[in-house]
Amino acid sequence: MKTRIKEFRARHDLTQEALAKMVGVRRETIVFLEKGKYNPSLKLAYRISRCLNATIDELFIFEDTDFK
Amino acid sequence: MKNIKKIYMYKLALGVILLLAGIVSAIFYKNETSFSSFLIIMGLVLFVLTAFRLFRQGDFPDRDERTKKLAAYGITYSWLLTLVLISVFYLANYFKLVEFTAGSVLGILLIFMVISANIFRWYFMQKSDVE
Repeated sequence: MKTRIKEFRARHDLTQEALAKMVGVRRETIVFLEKGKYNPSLKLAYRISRCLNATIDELFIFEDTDFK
Repeated sequence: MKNIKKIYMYKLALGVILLLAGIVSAIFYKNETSFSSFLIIMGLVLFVLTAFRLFRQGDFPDRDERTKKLAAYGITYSWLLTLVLISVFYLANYFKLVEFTAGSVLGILLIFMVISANIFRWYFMQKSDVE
């Protein structure tokens, strides 16, 4: 799964640390999310999208291989 | 100290209580050295680990959905491995290859489960996620 969290985070001038605090997770989780190494729960995806004023679809890009 | 989380405070207090209980036990029950040592070690480990985590984590949550998920997987794998170990113990005992005492088996399982759960957890943390 690819994400555009980094891009949206930059638009809002937020650091990984600040975003992590806003959504109540550890900083490492944001790091792994941005690298596409962690698939978040719907709840976390929703929280992040709210913080970054984006939709879940805009932030998380699923590919066909993610469903196999 | 103002931002210290409640859970850390409880853990630190429990560590100190265990440590003190161990010291008191060592003073009054001189024959029960193993029990006193157990309490002292448990108290020290709990206190030091909590203090270390507090220092490392700062304001961030101790756990989040990712770490909880990885810990759950770690415990599951550890449980499965323990099941295999118990089967091996059972067969070894059945075929009289090794003579176990209940105490030794419980001791081995206790240590094995704690260590294997932490190793699996650490392994999954390195992988970032688990499917």
